[in-house]
Amino acid sequence: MGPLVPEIFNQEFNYVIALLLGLFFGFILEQAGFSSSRKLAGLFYGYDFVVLRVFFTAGVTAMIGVLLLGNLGYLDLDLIFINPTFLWSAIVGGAIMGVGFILGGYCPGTGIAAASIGKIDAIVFFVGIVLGVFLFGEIYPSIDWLYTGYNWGDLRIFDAMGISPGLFVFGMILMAFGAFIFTTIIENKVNKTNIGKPAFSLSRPEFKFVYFAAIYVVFGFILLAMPSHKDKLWSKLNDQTIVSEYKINNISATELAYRLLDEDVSIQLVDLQQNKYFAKNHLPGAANLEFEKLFTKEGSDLINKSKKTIVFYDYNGELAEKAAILAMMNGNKKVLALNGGLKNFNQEITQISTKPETDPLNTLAESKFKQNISERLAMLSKKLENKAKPASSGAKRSKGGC
Amino acid sequence: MEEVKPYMNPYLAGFLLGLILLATIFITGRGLGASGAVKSAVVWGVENVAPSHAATAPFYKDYLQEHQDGALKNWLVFEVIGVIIGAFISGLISNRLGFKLEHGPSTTSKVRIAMALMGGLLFGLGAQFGRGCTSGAALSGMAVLSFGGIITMMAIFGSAYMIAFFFRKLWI
Repeated sequence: MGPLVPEIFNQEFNYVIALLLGLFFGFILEQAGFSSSRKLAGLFYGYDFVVLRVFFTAGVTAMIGVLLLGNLGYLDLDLIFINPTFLWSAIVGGAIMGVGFILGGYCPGTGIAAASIGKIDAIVFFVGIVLGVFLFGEIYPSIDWLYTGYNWGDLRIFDAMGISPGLFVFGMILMAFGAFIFTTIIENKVNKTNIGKPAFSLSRPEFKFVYFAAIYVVFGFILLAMPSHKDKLWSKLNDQTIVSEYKINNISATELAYRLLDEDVSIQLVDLQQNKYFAKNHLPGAANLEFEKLFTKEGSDLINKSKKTIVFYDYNGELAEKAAILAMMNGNKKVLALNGGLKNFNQEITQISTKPETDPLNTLAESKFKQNISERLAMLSKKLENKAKPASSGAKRSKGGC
Repeated sequence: MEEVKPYMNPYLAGFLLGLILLATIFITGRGLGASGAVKSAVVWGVENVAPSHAATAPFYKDYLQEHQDGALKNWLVFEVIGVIIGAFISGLISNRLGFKLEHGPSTTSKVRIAMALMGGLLFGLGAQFGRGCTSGAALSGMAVLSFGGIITMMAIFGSAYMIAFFFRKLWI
């Protein structure tokens, strides 16, 4: 499951990958004609829309791929770098870059590609970028409020719009499709080519891309109908015919209490509660892994790699069984679910009953027994305290950006 | 001199570029970029020319703290070295190598040079605010459906279209 760095490829090898990917990137930029400022600037004057075509096709291709791999469970979208949104800094920066584009005729990537083949304006442009970055470095403390202000975090566009990612990508495909047809018509008008012919005709070479674009529309429909990786797992978990294939192994509160007091090292308790509830109350030695995390690469790896028998528990016992099934679906056979959850464990094992019993002697014995167990569990808790940190495989979101 | 080969079909180039970007995200978990490498180079330069300044000014200090192995040991620096080699190979096989200066029909080489410098400066400055340029913020941001990346992209092209008319003499 992607991303492959850092687990499959280490950081050092990542630099080699960077060089290779950059090589392809530079090659394509130059082959596309991005090493010519006049071609690039054509976008803004209507005589050459090559930038729009390459840029939009690349963007849409990559976003289809990312979403497709994510939905299929091959790429963990929670681990890839999402450019953070600092709203006004992004807008101001973009506006400044737009002016730079018109004046300079390049953007940094295309400028570097053009400088590599000897374009003098691109070499000068590059010197300009260096000066611009330096200028920012010097004025930085005074504009920090703008740079780090209005922080909206790792916001995704579809969340901001309140739609599904599939719908957004589908919309982008249609938008790109329309823009390609429209700008080709404009290009013909501005360049006075194909005068007297119909504005749009599938038989002319500049409109042949429509056949190619149709494949993208098909992909758009697929993404529109496709559930996310998490949704798919979730519906599997709620599908009785699938769930009934798995036999959930339960552990009773009493047995767990005995195994805890025996300091059984073959089991690992996993608390599925949210962090705040875990912090309030959890069993001795439990690791905290919020239920939601089980659907991510980080969570499923943690469970799968464990050599111990996992004992899932949550507050009332419902999620633990789902977690156990999920772990079994992922191929981990050594999982148990605590019957009745933490609530029942506390009632049966540690809470001293306050209701009047018919047999006072029995009540006394029970309360003594429970008190004893509570104390021993509390001691065990203290002993294992440093182990009871929130579980983490150390997988972090990749760093990126410029 | 051999004939200059035509450019690649833009849709094919876009498709291939998209696949490279997808591969980058799948393998490394991050997107492509360009301006970030310049930032590394600038920090490295300041660190070597004015070490005391680099140690106190927050822009350089923060960057150096994040890059303990040296300012140049950054993913984008290696990627951009690749871009230079790749573009050079492309220019070589298509017979497009050579020192050339392009400018619009109604302007001079001097104006073009001055504007290229100015444009570069603004792009370098803007890319810092935007946390990336057309590659790192706009294109890569679009691929991962980042709100900020797409906002930056719209701001770049929106502002360029808004002012294009006033600078038309540079290009047409």
